[in-house]
Amino acid sequence: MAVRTTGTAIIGVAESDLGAVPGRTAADLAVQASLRATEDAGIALSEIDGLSTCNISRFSAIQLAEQLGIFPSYVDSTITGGSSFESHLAHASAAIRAGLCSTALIAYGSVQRSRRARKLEGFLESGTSAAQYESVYAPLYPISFYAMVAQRYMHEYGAKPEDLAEVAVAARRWAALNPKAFKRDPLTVEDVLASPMVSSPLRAADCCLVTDGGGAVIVTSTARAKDLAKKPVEVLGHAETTTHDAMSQAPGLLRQGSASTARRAFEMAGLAPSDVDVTQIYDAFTINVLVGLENLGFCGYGEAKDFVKSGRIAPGGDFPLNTQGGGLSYCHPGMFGIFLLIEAVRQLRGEAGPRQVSDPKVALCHGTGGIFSAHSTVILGVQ
Amino acid sequence: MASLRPLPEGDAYAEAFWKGASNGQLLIQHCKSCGHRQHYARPFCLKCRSDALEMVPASGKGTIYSFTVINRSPYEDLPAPYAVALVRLEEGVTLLSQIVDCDPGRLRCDLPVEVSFQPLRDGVTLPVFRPAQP
Repeated sequence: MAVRTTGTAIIGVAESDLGAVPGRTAADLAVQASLRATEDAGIALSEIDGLSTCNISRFSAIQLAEQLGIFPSYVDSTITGGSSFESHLAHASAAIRAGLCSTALIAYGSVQRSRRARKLEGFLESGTSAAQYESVYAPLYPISFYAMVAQRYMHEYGAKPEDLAEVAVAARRWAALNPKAFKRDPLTVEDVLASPMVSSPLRAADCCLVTDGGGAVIVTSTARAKDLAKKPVEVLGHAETTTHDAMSQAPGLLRQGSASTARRAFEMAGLAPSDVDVTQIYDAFTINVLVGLENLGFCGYGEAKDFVKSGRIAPGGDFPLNTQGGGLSYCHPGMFGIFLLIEAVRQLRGEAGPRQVSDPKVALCHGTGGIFSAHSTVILGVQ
Repeated sequence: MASLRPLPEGDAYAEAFWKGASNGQLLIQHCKSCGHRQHYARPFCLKCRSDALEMVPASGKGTIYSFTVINRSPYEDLPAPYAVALVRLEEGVTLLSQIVDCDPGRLRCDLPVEVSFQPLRDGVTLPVFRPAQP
């Protein structure tokens, strides 16, 4: 297959301050990341004429445009949970191709840690099928759904809690190489299995972090990108879908929407899973990586538990995954999708320092949102 | 922990389901055109798009598709541990519910279960499930 490109490329990426960032608003962190991303790209803020963001306030894009003092011709506040930013990139790439804007900024910020905004039961939203039929049964949201996926996974494929723990251990080993990571102290399989059970079979160490933080990504045409100092990271393929909102409405626990988004994104790019050099899968929980590897086509159904063994996805392994330390160990301000893109770009540019993968050409980012509800896959590459 | 479990919200469809439960019936929606059954109730059949639908009692028998035992309860009226499960009814629909009258160590995927009705408060009764009696 010949590689195809969309004619659009990422030219700037940045994080805001991460971890515990008291005394700031979500918008503050989105602004900070946005300004750093324009510096990284080497462009002026005035060049931004497209803006995508969500979840910093009710009218997120309007608020961020005001704070940045820009008047964009293209605006997107799509919110599909953690996959929103993969979808923002896909939509912005299409908007640039359609001539709706020339250079789009995708930004995010959250202060959930400092605001103590997380609750065990999650956010109960009135008017949803969950509020009508499910919240009364008191699943923890979202962990209990992921726990039921993990339970079924173990039942059907004979996987063990140790197999889930392998994912957390690999993430921590990557995080140890990343000075920005929130948790960098050593973690063993035994440590994971000794952490408190929250919603069986998932333990505290199977869960992502709760941090503050923000990020930003800037995308433009490849023609414009060629004039800039840094190596353009081309958008080669993308696809999104959504399969359910309430827990009972999931078409299946182990066969997910990611199978469809990966197939379509690879087709658009003219690539196959074997062409990917570095992979970023949203690891809200350890189980996400196992079902992600299978549904995205990197291994067969039921095979991921063996695929991740022996440090294969850890530093030095032959399948580099979540190389910044993931949501499990690097940061997780609530919606991790933008950080998948930031790390993929740094790896493809060769800027990842001690955690740099050897000369990668193609990266895959897969974001999920809600309770495996939304899926959005993006394939990026460098010449 | 400072609150009670949220009561189910009702619209016309959900109210029929919860009214059924308070009368000791587990109601699902049946399509009179194609025979498809669905949960939850909607204004049209997801299979054939017909609007000729009725609420019918389900057998109440099914299996645990998956489950989780929750060790930290967010609610003062629900002591941990408790078991939440996706139950697949014989009729082919899936519901989220709780498994009661079962030692957590005995829970497993595909375990046969049957419906039971558990009064909550304010006239609300919950369909829950317990291991099927042989």
